[in-house]
Amino acid sequence: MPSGEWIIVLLLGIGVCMGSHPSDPLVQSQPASEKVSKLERESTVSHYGLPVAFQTLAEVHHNRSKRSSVARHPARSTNGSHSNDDEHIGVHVVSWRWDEVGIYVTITGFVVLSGLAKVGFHHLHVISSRVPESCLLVIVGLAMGGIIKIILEAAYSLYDKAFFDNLPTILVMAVVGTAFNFLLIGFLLYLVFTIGAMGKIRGPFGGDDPVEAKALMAMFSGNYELGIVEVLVFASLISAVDPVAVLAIFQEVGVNPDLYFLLFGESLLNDGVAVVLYNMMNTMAEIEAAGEVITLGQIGLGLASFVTVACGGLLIGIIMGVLTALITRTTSEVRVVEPLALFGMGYLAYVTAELFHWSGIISLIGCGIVQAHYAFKNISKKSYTTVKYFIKMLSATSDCIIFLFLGIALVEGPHYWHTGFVVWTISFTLICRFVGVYGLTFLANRRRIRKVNLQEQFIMAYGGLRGAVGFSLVEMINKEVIPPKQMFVTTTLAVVMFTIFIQGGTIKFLVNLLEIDKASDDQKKISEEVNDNVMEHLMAGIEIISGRRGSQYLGQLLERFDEKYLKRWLCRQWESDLQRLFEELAYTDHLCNLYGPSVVLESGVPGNSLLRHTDEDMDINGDPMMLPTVMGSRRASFSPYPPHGGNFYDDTYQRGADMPEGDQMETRLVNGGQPQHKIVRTRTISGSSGFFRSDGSRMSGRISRIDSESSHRGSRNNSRLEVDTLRSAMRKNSFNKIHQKYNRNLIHDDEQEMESHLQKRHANARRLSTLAMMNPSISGTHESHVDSHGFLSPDSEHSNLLPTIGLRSRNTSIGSNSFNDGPSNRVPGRAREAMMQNRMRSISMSSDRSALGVVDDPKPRSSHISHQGLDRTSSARGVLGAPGLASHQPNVMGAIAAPETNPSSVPPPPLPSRGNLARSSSVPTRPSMGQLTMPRGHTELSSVVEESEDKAKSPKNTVGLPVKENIKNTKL
Amino acid sequence: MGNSRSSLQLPEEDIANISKETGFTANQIERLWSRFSSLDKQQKGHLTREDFLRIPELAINPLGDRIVHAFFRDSRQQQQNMGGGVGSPDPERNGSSGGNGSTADDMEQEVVNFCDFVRVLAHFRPLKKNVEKNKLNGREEKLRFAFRMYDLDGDDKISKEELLAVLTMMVGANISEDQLISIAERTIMEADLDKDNLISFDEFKNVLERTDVEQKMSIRFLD
Repeated sequence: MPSGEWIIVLLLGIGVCMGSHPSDPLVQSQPASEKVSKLERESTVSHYGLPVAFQTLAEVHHNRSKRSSVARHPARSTNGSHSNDDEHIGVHVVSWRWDEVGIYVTITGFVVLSGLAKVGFHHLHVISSRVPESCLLVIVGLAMGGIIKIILEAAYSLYDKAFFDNLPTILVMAVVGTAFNFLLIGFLLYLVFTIGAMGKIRGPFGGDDPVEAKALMAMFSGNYELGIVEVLVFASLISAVDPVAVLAIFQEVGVNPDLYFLLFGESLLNDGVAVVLYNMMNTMAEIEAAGEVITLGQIGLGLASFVTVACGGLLIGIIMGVLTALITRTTSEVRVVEPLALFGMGYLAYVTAELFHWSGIISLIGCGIVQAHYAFKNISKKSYTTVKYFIKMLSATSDCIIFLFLGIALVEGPHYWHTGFVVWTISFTLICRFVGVYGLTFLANRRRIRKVNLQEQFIMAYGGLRGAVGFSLVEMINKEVIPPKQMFVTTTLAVVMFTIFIQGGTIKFLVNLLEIDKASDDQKKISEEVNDNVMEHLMAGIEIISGRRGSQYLGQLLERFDEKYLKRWLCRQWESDLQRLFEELAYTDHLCNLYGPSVVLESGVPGNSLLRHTDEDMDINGDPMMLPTVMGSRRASFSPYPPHGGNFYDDTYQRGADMPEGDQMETRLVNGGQPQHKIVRTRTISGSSGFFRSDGSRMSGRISRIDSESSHRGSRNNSRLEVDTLRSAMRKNSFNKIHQKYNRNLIHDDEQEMESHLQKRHANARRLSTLAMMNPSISGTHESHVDSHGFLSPDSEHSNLLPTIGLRSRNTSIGSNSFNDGPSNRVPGRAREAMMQNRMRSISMSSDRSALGVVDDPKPRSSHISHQGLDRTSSARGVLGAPGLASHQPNVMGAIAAPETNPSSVPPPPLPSRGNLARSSSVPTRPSMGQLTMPRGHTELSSVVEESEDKAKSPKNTVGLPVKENIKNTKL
Repeated sequence: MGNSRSSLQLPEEDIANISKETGFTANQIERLWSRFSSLDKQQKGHLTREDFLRIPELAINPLGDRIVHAFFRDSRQQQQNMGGGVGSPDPERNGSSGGNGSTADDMEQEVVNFCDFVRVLAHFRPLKKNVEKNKLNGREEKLRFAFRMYDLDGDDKISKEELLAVLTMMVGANISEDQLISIAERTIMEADLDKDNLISFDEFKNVLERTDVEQKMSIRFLD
């Protein structure tokens, strides 16, 4: 049965879902069992998740035969019992077994359909950008016909510093706020009802079953007196805020994280609170329905259970989260288990909490946060993606289903519309929300350093939409216990519709109107991260000195405990935030350098000037040069002295080795004509001298003087700027705009793809370099080169590749000269050719590098690339690039060379750390570093290779050929 | 708390003076005074480095030393600025140490009296929006304080070595030295506008432009 798989999936999803009420829906529709004993509840624990949705779905699509009630609850009924029930006589080739399979088909079809609906909205940009998605879904739901909500997903995304910073306020809002709303709405409604302002409520409340309805009619022929408990049950479910739509808008607009997490955290936690309140009230209603009197003691017990339910749930969740971390700690060899462990433990957390009659939702939140903190750091990238996608899939689908179902319920169910009740409820929910938010933030603000300002308070209050939670809870009301169920359902629907359409529809406008602080979209700088760390410690220290053990102190205490014990026990390896940020920055810089220039050219932003600028960037940054288009333009700028150009590199290259100052001067003279390039070259030289210096063997005072001089000349001034320029170009680019724009259906896709890209390139580069190395005869005779490199001598083998390339590239450059002036920005044939050259160069480089092998250390290597003369640089720049790149674009793995910074950052007189520097940069055999950085060299190089390929759209297999060709050429 | 004895020793006019200078309320000053007295174990009337470092949480704070150092350096500087007596709110207490500060300019002051203590803490009062500028708790002053956490040699520049030292203190155990070096380099590179490979205070301010320093460097003092 193909649906069997689905059932597993669904069950898992359902388990993690909310909207649970510890009484089995089945029981409600069976008059036989009027009261649900606790024992029964516990025994049906595993079906709790089975949402009302399915029941209703079943109602929609089935005739209400006795069997359908079995089919409604597939988890309960075994397949065996089904086939026994069915009158299967003989063998069937084809048969219609709707009763058995129907429910699965319906559910599956429904899920798939909702997914399709989502896809549809995504493509209907015009609509979806104006109307919240949830509204669309409701609209669609009106036309056709589940209730799952994934808390785990929310809990995972709750793991954020801003959340923990605002935790006290969030807790106040969620717990006190919800309780306040609950009481206020409940009593106000009751008050209004008793003084008669609401109008009379007449029975019967419509039933789905005519027979039932008749019975009800008989029971309540007169006016119905609403009891306080009933009203409170209703109040408890209507006080749950569920701002899915608002959060989506917040993400899209990019409000500041404080506001976002205030609302997000509140809505999530108060789901739990509302469910607890609801259960409590429901129990009371049951007691009342049974004809007993609710004593004060029971109310007290109810309050006590409120605390235990919440705390117990949290405790179980945390325990489960810790267990997950422990499990994942041991799974480095069995990665497949990891997602299972995460989901399984999440589910277990939910179920276990429910087992003790504690809040499964709160348990799940706790579990999710702990998992995000520890277990996520243990699992592999792939597992992480799996988990993320799976969770995302479930939650997105559930969101769809909820709102679709909402729409269906709107048309389906028998409604009992009572205008007075609806109007009063809507106004009370609004009023109480505002009063609650303003009052509680006023209290919270007294303890907050960053106050929640009035505009934000307004948005928080206004964003308090009602949604899935309330609806699912109201659907679970037992009609036997609370007769006016239908009225409640209808009213809840009305409230939900009102808030979603009216409030949700206008909140975007209001956010813009009120000028809510936006989150800064720029990436955090590493210096900011460092400073944040310093400030945290500083403030903790100051707090202690001032004698107050406040939040900082507590935070630090927790952090220390975390760092000292928990992380050690629970995590396989740990990297600090600083480190992660650093790597992330390196990553984005890399991306910028990789794609930025082409983006600049492509979009042709501010015309020539920017082009020129980028041109310069590239000379400095090097890396971008590998892009064919860019290369073309760069070549063009070289063309003023064509005959010199090609050889020039070689010259400098050879001289660069033992370069005395005179030579440097000469170099500069040669370049005198073009200030741009002068900068570049001097800098390259400075790189070389820096290299020597850090190498420690050939330092010359004069060179270092020039070095610092040249760095003052401003080459480095630009480097930062350039990355910024590139970055902003990237951001402005229309293509990127589309793809990087907020899209909550994507999860770290770029990151993933980047990684696999790099891996592919890495592999490619390795292949190429081994290929190149297999030709030992291509040894060159560049003594000076060997000299210059000293220990690097093996790489001289390949250096003789370069002259040819230089010459060739010169030709090409002349050819592609026209490119710059050409009207179109597309890559002309010439440029492509140039690119091919470039690729070859990169190949030679890669082989070069691989020849250096592990012996070489990253630092000298990168500076050596920058320094090895310009010919090398022509390739190095074109390809690997180089100083600029290497420095702000450091190793993805963390061990960065920063060749450019090294030389120029260390002023001429030796500084204490120089020893360190020199050591770290010159000691060739540092195993860990070598291993770590070696692949990176390849990666970068090969990235170039592939990049050029991509751009030129040339077939892949040509990559290998040029090398051979080239090598042969050199041989001859 | 249990220090009613010591709070009795703080004269009313002193409180008024300190309050005027630092912006603390009288209640807060009394609280701080009781804290000060409890730190001052031998009732010397001033605090030494040892007094500070006796606080266990401070001893394990990675920046504990520097924070304590800031108290001493800050108070010295301020006394220099004030010329030893101008508006010195607590004459008899300040007399000895103030003289100490002005005579031995280069010497580190060895003790911190209550005024110094409060003055340093005043940096961390939350900033109210419509309060006049250039108070001790202004953005600039807060940043200055943070800056001094790095600037150990007091030359108003953060060098790579200084930065590295701070980094090592904070995350030393988790990250290899090489990585720390590269992080330090990058940090400097980001901030360094004039390319001297040092971060000046202006550059420092510049970097933290987006950071909500007023919030991050404020604590609530008890009333």
